[in-house]
Amino acid sequence: MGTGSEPGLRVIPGGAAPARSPAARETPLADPENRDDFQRIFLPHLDAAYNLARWLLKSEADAQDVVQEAYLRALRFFRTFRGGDSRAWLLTIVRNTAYSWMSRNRGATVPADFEEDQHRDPAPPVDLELIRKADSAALRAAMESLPTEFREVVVLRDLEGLSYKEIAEIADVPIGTVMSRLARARSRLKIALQKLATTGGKR
Amino acid sequence: MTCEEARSLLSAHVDHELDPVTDREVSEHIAGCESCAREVESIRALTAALHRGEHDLRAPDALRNRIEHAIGGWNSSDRAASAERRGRFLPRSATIAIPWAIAALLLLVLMPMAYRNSNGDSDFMPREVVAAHVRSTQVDHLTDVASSDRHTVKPWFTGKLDFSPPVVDYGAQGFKLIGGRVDYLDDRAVAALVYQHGPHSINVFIWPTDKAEQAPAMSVRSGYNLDHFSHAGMQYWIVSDMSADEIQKLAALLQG
Repeated sequence: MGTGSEPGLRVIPGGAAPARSPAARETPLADPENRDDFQRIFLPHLDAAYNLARWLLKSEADAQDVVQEAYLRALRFFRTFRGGDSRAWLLTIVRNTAYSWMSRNRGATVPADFEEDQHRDPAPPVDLELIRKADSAALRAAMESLPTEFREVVVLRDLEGLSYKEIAEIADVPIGTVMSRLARARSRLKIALQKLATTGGKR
Repeated sequence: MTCEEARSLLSAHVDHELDPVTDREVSEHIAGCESCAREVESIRALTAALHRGEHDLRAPDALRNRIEHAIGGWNSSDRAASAERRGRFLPRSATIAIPWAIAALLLLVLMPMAYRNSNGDSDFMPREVVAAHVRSTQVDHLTDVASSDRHTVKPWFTGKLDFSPPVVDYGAQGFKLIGGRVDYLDDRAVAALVYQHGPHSINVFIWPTDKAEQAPAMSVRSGYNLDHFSHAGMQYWIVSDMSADEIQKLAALLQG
């Protein structure tokens, strides 16, 4: 005994926490310095973190709670952060925290790998001018009408400007899924804008 | 490329996220297809509208302050030392609030410590332990190594922890070993053993202590029962939604 691996060992990759490596314990947290590093690296992403949480949860108060919880989680796992894209690393934690918050408080389930029929959202001819002139209230209403998984990719791509690869890592889905979700999300957004316009655009 | 094939790729084409070969094919299709060209236009209009619509929200200052405090308040030491450096991230209004917040936090942290016995526990650990338990059940991340065989679980920890936790299956006594994972508590990596008792999941957190033997102390928090004790150089936190009686049974088993 005492060897690192044994036959029959079944390691389940954890989706929750960022991966830990054995080397992590060899870099003890020099406390105040590390906290300063943490702040220096992650506080600049606070707006992005809040933006994502706010759009996922559709509530400012809930978003604030989730972002704070996410930062504490990030601090807790800071020693597993191996450099690289700090924004994507943080947003992954924000996203996971938001989903567990939703399942805890709203009974929503963490999205499974749902793949809808590709042809379910046929793109009808859309009034270009209507989209160009859409005001921010209409866009917001359209965004909020999207299912969370669709809204998430739009926020990450069109508001935060992340690449498909980064989004795939954050949302923990294949790049192909990001691509198809984004295509359908945009198609739904256009339909929603059109509907809002025809129903008198109350908002 | 057919229209149908192109349709699903137009969005990625607009984002320049297609591989060069496919992108070229899509471009060629769009050049000869009026409806796809219109679709591309509408996607561009949409992304432009989202950009200018100021939907990229800014975090409120109050949240920024809350997080600063929460991070600074992670534990009580060195807070004063880093408070000054923290100042540069903050709006001016916060520089008055911070000394007060620090004073209040110090009071909150130090008072319970002064009143409790020398083991240094405040309310902090029970809260952390329950949070770790809830998290592990919530996100379906109970185990990193799933096995009822302690000869599988125990070596799994090698190289992941700087100590070797005792791993025993009490299946015969009704507490079946499900597996283990590494968790993070008390500013260090700790062993989490997962047991199953009927419908209840139980987390047992283990890490070394220099305290001598310490008798089990039960507590309740957020509806979860906790038991904390030290035995043979290790401290244990047991947390579960099962009854206090059953927790005590498991604690007795763990103490050999």
